[in-house]
Amino acid sequence: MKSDHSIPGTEEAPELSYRILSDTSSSAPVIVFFTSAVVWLLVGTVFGLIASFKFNFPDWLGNIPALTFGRVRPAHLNSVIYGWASLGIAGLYVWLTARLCQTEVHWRRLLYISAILWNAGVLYGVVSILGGHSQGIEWLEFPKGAQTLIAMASVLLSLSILRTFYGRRVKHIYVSLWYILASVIWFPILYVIANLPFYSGVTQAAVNWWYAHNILTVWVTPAGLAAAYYFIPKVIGRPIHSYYLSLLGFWSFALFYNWNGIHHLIGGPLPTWLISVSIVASVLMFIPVITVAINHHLTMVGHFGKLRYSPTLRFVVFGAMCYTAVSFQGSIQALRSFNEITHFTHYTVGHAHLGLYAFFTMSIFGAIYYIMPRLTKWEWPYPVLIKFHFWLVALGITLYVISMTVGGFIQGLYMNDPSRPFMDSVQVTKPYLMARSIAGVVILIGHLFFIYLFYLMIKRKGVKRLTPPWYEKAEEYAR
Amino acid sequence: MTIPLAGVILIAVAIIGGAIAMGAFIWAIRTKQFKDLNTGAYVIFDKEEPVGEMTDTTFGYPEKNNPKKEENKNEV
Repeated sequence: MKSDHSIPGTEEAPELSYRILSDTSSSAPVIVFFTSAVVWLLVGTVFGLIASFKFNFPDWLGNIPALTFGRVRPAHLNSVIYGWASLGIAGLYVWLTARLCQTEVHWRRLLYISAILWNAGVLYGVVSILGGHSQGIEWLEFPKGAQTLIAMASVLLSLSILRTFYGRRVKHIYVSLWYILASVIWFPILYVIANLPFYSGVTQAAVNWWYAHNILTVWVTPAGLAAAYYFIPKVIGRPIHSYYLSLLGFWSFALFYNWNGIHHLIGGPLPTWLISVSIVASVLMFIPVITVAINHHLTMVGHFGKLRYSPTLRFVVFGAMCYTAVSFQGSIQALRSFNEITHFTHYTVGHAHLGLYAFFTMSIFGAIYYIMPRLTKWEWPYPVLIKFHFWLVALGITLYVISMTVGGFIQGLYMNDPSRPFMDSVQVTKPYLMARSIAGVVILIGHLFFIYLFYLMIKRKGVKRLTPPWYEKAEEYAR
Repeated sequence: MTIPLAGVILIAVAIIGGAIAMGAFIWAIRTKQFKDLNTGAYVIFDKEEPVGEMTDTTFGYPEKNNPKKEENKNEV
């Protein structure tokens, strides 16, 4: 359908070439961010798998201090969050901001410095954790030095993105850009405040979970949603079903989500009102979540057949569906009566992976599948490997989440039953933990396919494929 | 009751942060970001990548939505 559709808001943009302009200028920094993210993905997956196997074979690697559970598990969490997720987000934000502002990336040098500092921070932090120098606060295990490096890196990233936004050539701020802007303003503030040195005792616990939940609020979730709001309509060629609802979703998200953290401390020694406020806010999250769910579903209706043609669409739609699932689960889980059962069980681990993997990581995979060919001017060489990647990680994470959810729930019921000895609640989880390890292996294999493909992309190797017309044009512009 | 300095700083940061968010919201209304929401959704499309065309077909070309199909056949 060739239409004479006038494009509102783009009047000032230079005709035709803005996408080439923004993709060309974002190419180098985004490839740097994505490449380091992929390296940390592999590192994080291996740590996660080691930690998982320790539940099945408790003595395995037990005599190497650096590979004991208490160190490998935080090494997994931190390398995945600050390495894979954060650097992936950085790449996505830089690329998407340039596109949505229809301009080139400004202050690119800051981005290179940011990538170096960020990688150095994560490396230093993970090595410190393995060496036994963890701070012992979940999500904040990195020593102060590593945290300082990451804080500086995040400020530089934000400065560059805000400068690019300032130089925008389009009046209208697309909904994805709202999420990105909120994210880059709040993440450095959040990270610095959480790492200030003067908390102790119960206050430390409150700040800890305020931080750990808000890193999802201001960093992980906006990235996943920004990706979904851009890639679903862009790939299928149809605008968002209800743009009004998407903006309502953003502002209600901004209002409610940042109150949620303290629901992690239900039953803890905090003022009851503080926990209750957090529970109320968690339930209010139904509003933004339903706006997202309705929007993404109704945008896709009638276009599900297109999932056959686009890897990006598969991953992002899978992620968007899991966002609805994980958010509903999270709101229910925050209720005291439900939390009584699931708190301190594997159920929580399943929930975390439904959010950070099935929603977030799948969305970022989708984004990378879309972005990379436009940066390297090289189409993904072996589509069949992409399909392997998708099915392995999709089935792997499904098995993971189901086994942890069911196993964790039974574990919780056993723990609450005073007539049963505590060891029963441990024994009953054994088959579920084995299923989790199998799921982990499947996911790792999927990641190896992805990493191989990613390597071919940055090297422009493999079969040269027929590239869609818009890449051909891109080369004309580059001349 | 005395509030420790750290608390004062954090409350100040919270107020400033809230003011930034409120300011952004008011700015958005003033600059008419929320007027004409139906066309806002079209900002990601343009003449080269218009509504109605898929922009990712890595797994192959759909029969519909592919105005360039004939050209592509010749290029293989």
